[in-house]
This record gives sequence, structure tokens and C-alpha cells, in this order.
Amino acid sequence: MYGLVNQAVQGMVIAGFGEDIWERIKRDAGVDLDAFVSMESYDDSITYSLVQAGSAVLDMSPEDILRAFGEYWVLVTAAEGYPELMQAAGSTLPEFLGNLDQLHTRVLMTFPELRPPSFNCKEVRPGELCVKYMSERVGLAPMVVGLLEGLGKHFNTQVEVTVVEVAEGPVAATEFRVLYGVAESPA
Amino acid sequence: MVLVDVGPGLQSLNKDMAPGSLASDWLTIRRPAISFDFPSLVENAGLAFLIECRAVDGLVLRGQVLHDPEQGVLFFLGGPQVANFSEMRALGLGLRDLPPHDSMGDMLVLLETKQAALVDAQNLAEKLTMKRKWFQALIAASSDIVGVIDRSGCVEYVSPGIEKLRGMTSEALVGESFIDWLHEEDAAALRAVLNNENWGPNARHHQLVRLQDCHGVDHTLDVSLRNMADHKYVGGIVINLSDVTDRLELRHQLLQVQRLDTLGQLAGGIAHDFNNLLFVIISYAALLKDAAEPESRDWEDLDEILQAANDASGLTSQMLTFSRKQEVELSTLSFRSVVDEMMDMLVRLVGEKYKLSARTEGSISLVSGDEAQLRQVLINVVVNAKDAMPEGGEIEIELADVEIEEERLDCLGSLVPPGNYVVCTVIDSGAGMSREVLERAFEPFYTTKGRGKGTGLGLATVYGMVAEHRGAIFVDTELGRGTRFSFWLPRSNSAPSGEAKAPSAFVPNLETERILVVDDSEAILKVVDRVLGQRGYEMHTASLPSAALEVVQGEPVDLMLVDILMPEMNGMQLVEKAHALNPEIKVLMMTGYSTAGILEQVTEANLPVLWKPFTPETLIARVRGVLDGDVDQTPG
Repeated sequence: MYGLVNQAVQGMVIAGFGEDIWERIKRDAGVDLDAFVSMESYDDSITYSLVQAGSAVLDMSPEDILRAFGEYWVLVTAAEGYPELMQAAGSTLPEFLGNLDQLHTRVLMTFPELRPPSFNCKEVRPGELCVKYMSERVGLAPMVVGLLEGLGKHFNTQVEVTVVEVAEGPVAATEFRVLYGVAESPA
Repeated sequence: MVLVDVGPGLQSLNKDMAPGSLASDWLTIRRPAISFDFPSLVENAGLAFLIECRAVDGLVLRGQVLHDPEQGVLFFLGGPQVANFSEMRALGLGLRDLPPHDSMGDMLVLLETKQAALVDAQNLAEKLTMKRKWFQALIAASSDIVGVIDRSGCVEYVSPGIEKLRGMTSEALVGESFIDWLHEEDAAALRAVLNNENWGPNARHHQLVRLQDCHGVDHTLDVSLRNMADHKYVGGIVINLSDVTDRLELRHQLLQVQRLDTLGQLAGGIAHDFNNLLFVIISYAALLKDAAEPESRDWEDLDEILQAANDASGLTSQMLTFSRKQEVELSTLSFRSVVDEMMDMLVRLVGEKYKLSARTEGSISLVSGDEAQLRQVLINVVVNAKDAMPEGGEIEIELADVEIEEERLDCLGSLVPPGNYVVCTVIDSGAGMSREVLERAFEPFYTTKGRGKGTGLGLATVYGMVAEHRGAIFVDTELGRGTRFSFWLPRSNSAPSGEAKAPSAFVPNLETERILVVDDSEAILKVVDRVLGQRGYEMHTASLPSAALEVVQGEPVDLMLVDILMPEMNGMQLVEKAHALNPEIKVLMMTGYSTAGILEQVTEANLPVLWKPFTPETLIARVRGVLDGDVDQTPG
């Protein structure tokens, strides 16, 4: 993964738990690097090790960490690092999700070693989206939940994400049902 | 030319731009510079066109014109000409408005991501610079010196701390041999370590080395080595140098002070026992002398005994001074006046071969001191200076006021607190002292003057007296180059003390009171019993406090004469118990030397103290005084 992703993991941990905890996670993960360079490609195992060590140090499940990371990615990394791109990609949740694949395709010119996931988004009915996520990398579906929830916050719309179907295989495929703009359901 | 069809992208921007309308109503060619007519467009098809589109204010389309001769139409394929996403947003366009085949979108993404990467790289560079400067400041602030050498001892890096030792910048020292800086023996030992093939990765070595700095001053360094040649960033042997010269000196001085303290305790203990014996000798000799015919042979013999015993008493007094167990009588005085008054006497003392002079720098403050002791200090130091120049020479006494802002250690390792001092320096141009001699110079009975020529108590006494005055001693000496001996006395802010009151005269009387003497020394009990018994007192004696309390319980007692240090309980505890039985009993404490703690209690209780050894006259006078209500505690 590109250093950008690991930078985001670092930023999330430091913002939430402080520099010392980040150093501890890095040490436990066996990562002997002072900093990540955003445009440099790093081995995926570094990111996975950081998530695993973070899970142990923070006493959080890896799924929760990935979910929090997804949200951080949208609200901090992308929003602060690529604000123009985020705005150009869409002004509503369905528009943004609809442009996401094209966005990743264009980003490949800058990050040639990128192996981006693919998002297929269809509006099932007003306020309901069917998002199909496919990735070469397994186990990152919880991060997509965080991404979708983060996008909800980005577009200032309430979002409810449900995993509809998980397909195992060489390519991780997960189908999500996304309700957006929905009022809070009564207790 | 009429618009035949309009793509959905443009239509969504402006619905009025519909088929059938005149092309010239909506479009203006910016480049190439051709007229907006069909043949010109056909002729230039294949060129890159920039066309202003009035569907949206400021929108310029970039694309290519294609000619379909069969249908007789021209196609224009293009997208918005923008430099960044901000411009796009200003036109109300988004990523979807960029045709998939158009590389403009890729370029915009590229620009945006490269810009972010640039910011990231700048941040990273800033962070690394900060970190580097932080480490540099940290290393520069450290009192230790850190470096990296290779196996041959060549310096690859050394921190700036080295500069004060080598007199060159740390950068200039790169490439020099660290080992060559060291004392030959230490260099050999270190070289052996570095040449040892078994001294492998992560191995450590620790050694003290001697090094002479660029000013020729010797230093002792504590060197730690760690082999980090395999470390991917260090790639060499890390050295840590800690200058322990002062620490070793301090430890050395501390040991010296401890040795002097031990000797002091020993000397104090011996002097105490001697005092008791001398007291008995002096008392009996005085009694016998009183009984002898004046000027008779016995009378003269006894006078000799008393003379010798008094001399011995003087020696024990010096030992007590060294052990700081001699009470001092402090008063505010001018040391300058003391020196002035003593000059004639000192000139006579050193003799004709010596030229003695005194010099004063500025006004000299008052000090708080025991005048007799300070006179003794000056005499001892001047005599020492004289003895260092057997062939004669010049002795100079300098007086000066000195203020120090930071604490420092004197030559005996005692801490000298910041403050104002009067410094008296005695300078001679004599033999000087070696380091070894200086280290032992303050020990009692240590002398270099040869058998029978010195007691070895001179400087020991000076040490005890100056320490008692909370002063300090500094000695600057070198073999063959003389000695500057300074003693520092804390400045006093009080007004000069008045004249000491004259001791009250002893008036003989035939006494009738009842006296209890308590001392664990039978000899002292006997002699006090005899001296006071002869005066007519009714005497009781007790060698233990428990026996004394039995006497107090059973007999009327007017005065208790109590030794301070005794088995079972100390004198103060005995007095408390006795007063519980009979609060009317008057008390006179006796002691051979001051014992920290107990003596303070005695002083706080305002009890009079009689210092051993004492003469029968003094004993009789002090006892009478206490019985008559005089509680003067001055040593008798």
C-alpha cells in the first residue's frame, strides 16, 4: 500500500491516543520506520501488522480499528489532503459513490502501483443504495463500512450501512445496503 | 452552420443550447485563428481546437473537429479546458463532466495528488530537520561526548563537546585517530579491544582513559564502547566519553575527609581519656603541693609534675581541637586587627632569617570567631611557612574580602557555600608540597619535619579550628615553587563584641553544703571527693546513675556534679530523674569534650558546664558559684 495509507493510520492513532501509543504500536508491529512517504509503495504486511498491533495495544478488535480508519480516511486524510478532488468527485453521496471507480482509475496515473478496490453503486430506490465492493485484498470490508459512514458525515447525511452478502474467494466481494438521508428510527 | 445534435453534458449545462440553433450563437473559435465557416473547419480538422462555449459563462472547450463527408456534418469531441478542480467547480462542473477518453481528468487528478505529495514531502522534510536539530541540541547540551569510530580508531563522527578538549571543531576531527589522543597505556588497552576479532556485533567495552587537553591539562575519561558496525544506520563503533576528572577528585577528597573524621574521632576519644587521667594527676599534685613546704624539694618536684601535666593538657587540647570537640567561644571580631596585633610576635617567632610582611586588599569585613583559636591558626600556618624555608625567605600574609556566588569544594573536599568570606593567605617561596604530602598534611601526627622537630598537630589543629568556624582551606602548592595557604572565614554582619567579662574572683570559705559527684571514673570521684571534702562539703559519690538516684532518694543533696557521658544513661537523663525526686538540687555538669546532641540539651536547659581537665581551684570556684546561684556556662 502507498505510504499515504500508513500515514493515515499513524494520524488516526496519534490524534486519538497520542504519540507514545503510536510508537508502541509501531514497535510491537516491528515497523522500524520514522515516517511514511505518501507516494512510496510499502508492503501490505506493514499496514496489516500496524492494525494487528493497534488492536492489541488499544484493546480494540481489528474490525473496529478498520472501521474507524475508514471514517478517518474520508473525513481527515481525503478531506484535508485532496479537498478539490473530493469536491470534484461529487456533491452528493450517490454521485460520489457513482464516480468512485472513475476516480480510482484516474488516480492510477499518479499511483501506478495502486491496486484500488472497485465500487459499483446503484440506486435501488430513493434513499437506498446497493454498493458492491470488490478488492484483491481480503479482510478490509469493515473499513468500507467506515468509509461509507464517513462519507455520510462528509455529505451531512445520515447513513445506515448493512452488509447484505459476503462472497469468499480470491477476490473479496461484499454487497452493502446503504440507507441515506433516513430519519433516525424510533427506539 | 446549424447545430445538428448537442451532447448530454452540454445540454445539462444549458437546455437552450438545442439542435437547430445557430452554432455561431453559442460557439466562438479561439484557436486556431480561422474563420468560423464549414470549409475552414473541414480544412483544419485534426488540429486541437479551443472553442468558447456560451452555454456557461467562461467555459472553454478543448477538442478536435472531425468531418463526416457522407453525412456532410462536423463532429466536435472535447471537454472543458481547465487548469484545476477549482476552475471546474467555478464553472459548476464535476468529474463526471470530463469525458472518460479525455486525459484532462487524469491531468487534474495528477496535479492534485502531486500537490498533496509535495506538501507531504515538505512536511516530512520539516519534521526531519526539526528532529535533527533537536538531536543536535540534545547532544550539544550533554556533558558527555558521543562519537562513532571505526575499527582502527578513526573518528567518523564526534559531538561538539570534544571541542573544549581538543581545541578543534568536531568536523575537523573527523578522520583523526581517537586512540592517538590517549595516554599510551590506555591507548594500547583500547587498541587491543578493537583489534580483537572476537569483539563482535553489539559487544561492549568500558575503560577509564587519560587524555591531555589542548591546554595541557590532564583529564580522566570514562569511555564506553559499543560495536554497532553491523547497524544499518550507525555502521561503526559508538563511543561515549564522560569526563570524570572532577568526580574522581571529589571521591578522593571525600575519602580524605572521611579519613580525617575517623582520625578525629580516634584522637577525640584518646584526648578525653587523657584528660581524665591528667585531671587526677593535676588535682593530686596540686593538693600535695598545697600541703608541701613552699620552696622545699617536694614543692619544686610537684611544681615540675604540674608543669608537665599542664603541657600534656595543652597537647590533648590540640587533639580535641582537631577532632572539633573543643568548645569555641565565638565573638564578632576584626581579623585584620588580630593580624596587626600579632605581627610583632610573629616576626619574633620566625626569626631574623625571614622577612614577614602583611598586606591588605581593600577593607576587610568582620568575622565571627574564637580569637584565641584564630591566633593559633595564624601562628601554625606561619610556622609551617617558615619551616618550609629552612634557609630563610619571605613570608607574606594577605588579607582580602572575597565573595563567591556558587558553592565550591575546598582542598579537603568540604563544600563551601556561596557567600562573603574574609580570606587570609600565607605565602611562602619554600619547598612546596607534593600531592601525596598535601593529602596527609592535615592528619594528626603526620609531619615531614623529622623526628622530634614537630608534633604533627599544627595543620591538624588548623583544620579543626577552621572547620569549627565553618570556614574553608585552600592550598596552592607545587614542589619547589612554594605554597599559598588560604583559610576562609565567613563574614559576620554583627557589630564587634564588647570586652569579655573578667572571671569572678575565688573567695575561699569553709563550706557546709551536701554534694553528690557522679562519674564513671573512680579516680575522678576520689579526687573530686578529696578536693571538695577538704573544703568542708559533705560529699557523696556514685559511679553509676542508678547509684546516684539512690543517694538522691535517701539523702538531702544541695548540688550534683554530673559527668555528661556515663553508662546506663547520660548526664542529662540522670539530672531529669534526680529533679523528679528533688527539684531543688543544683547541677554542675562535667565533660572532657563536647558531645553533639547532649551538649545542646545541656545548653538548652541552661545548666553550667565544667570542662575537664580542671584545676582544684577552678573546681572549688565553679561549685561555689553554682551553689551561690551563678549559672555561667563558660568553660572553666
